[in-house]
Amino acid sequence: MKKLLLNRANLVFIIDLLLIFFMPTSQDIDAPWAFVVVLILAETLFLVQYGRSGKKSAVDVAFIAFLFLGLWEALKKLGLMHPVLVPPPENVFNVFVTQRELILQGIGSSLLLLLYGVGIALILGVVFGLLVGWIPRLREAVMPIANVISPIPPLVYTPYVVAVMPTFKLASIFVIFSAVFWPTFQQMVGRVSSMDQKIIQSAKVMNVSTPTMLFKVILPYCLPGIITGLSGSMRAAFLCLTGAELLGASSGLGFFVKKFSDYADYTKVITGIIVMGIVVTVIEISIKVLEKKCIKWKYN
Amino acid sequence: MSKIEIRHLSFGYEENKNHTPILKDINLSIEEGEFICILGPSGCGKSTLLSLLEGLNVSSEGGIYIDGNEIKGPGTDRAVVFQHYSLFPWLSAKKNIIFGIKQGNKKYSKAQRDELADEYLKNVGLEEAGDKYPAQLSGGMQQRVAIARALAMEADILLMDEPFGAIDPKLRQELQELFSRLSKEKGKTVVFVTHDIDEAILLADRIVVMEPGRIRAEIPVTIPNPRKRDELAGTEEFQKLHRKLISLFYERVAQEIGNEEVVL
Repeated sequence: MKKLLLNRANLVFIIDLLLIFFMPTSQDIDAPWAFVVVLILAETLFLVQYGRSGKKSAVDVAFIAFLFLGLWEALKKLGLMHPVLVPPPENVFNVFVTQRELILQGIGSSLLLLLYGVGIALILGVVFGLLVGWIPRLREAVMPIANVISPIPPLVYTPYVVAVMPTFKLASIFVIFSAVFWPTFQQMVGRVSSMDQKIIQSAKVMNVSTPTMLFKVILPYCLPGIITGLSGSMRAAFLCLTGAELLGASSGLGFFVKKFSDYADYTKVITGIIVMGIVVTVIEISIKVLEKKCIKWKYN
Repeated sequence: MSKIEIRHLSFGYEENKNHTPILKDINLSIEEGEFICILGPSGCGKSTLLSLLEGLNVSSEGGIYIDGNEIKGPGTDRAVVFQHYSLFPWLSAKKNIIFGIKQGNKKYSKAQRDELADEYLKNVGLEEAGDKYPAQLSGGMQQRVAIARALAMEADILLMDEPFGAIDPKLRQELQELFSRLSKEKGKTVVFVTHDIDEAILLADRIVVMEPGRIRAEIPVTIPNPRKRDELAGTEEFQKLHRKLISLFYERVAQEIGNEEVVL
């Protein structure tokens, strides 16, 4: 208990609160409530994590985060930061409240596009990867072509795709699809063709049919790799999606940032960036949870 | 008609056509319910012979007939246990066995499969371990499950490729006795590849001794079943067989080094 409360992270947390409430300033700053709520949420998260794991790194991470927020607050209040480019943290976190509808709508619309793009790409990537990896003749025919197309970064053709596709939604789904499909497909082909021959043999001597071999033997064997690769794919997909949204969307997180940076409203821009960070983190955590839930055989 | 007929069987890998084939003109008849051990040093082609029986390889000449039908590939009339642990790591022990049941010839309802799987687990003494994944089981336990899975396919013929080769001696003996009892109980025809002379004597009705490429001798084992390894070791019959098999092994060595006298 003593260890949980008396540490650097909590010390800086208290200092942050003191700075917020008692440091005088001549700057024009919004009410601090949203910022305080964020601090308390972060502190709660830290206490839960540290209490459960007891890892020193939890203290370090919280310490750095609180120190950063404290410095931001103090320097801003001292008037040492650029008045337009660096807004006070109070204002940034207030945007969560004032723009909550636009933000939630943005998250919803971005996630929906992500879901379509990644979902289609995963299913097709895995199924084609299985077939191409399993059938040597198909592999020899398809892989040289795939090796040429797949290294092209989707961001490069994003502007073109946005211009060509009839709707922006289709364009972003296509871009996300190509960001996720190729790596999924290629990794799948690699996994299938380099699969443990002992497993293949023992399936063969049980006289399994080709569909059983592909979907009941090879697919479950490769599943952990697919889910591990998913986190990288999601990052690439998110990058492409927000990239596309900067170009031509009318909703979404990328659009949110783009819209306010056009008006030089950097408070909202920073809020948008923070939201993206949170969304990506939540996605990655969900993938880790999924991994542990689905693949009991590797983590027991 | 014998259960398994191997007729004029030859096999060589395509890439070294000019070399001596791995198997040359093998002939062997195996009766229904018979337990055959194929005994030989490493590299004599015994595992290749088994892979032809499994249907994973195809003979270059001659053929193998089961109940008079030539085998063309893997089939549900044969079940295999490998030396390497070949269970599916993503399935629990019980699910592995259920996979075997599903691949077998007979169709069962889900409840029946479940019941059968429990029975096979019990057969190999693992009724408690059904929900464990292979990675959570020791090598010996995994091999027990593999045996249960092979039995679960309800094939007449069991093909065993040095199944206990990687298991420590104490456990190996337990598994040998267990497998010997199960295969007799269930009336299976067994082809069991090994390089362990004692194992062959303990298990076989007939020992087929191989030397590179061909069969050197067929030796019937008349010691009555069930055989216990501890009791067996001292008997004269065992000693005699053991000496005979050793001499078959070393005669070959003597030939290879030019018929000089071998001092052991």
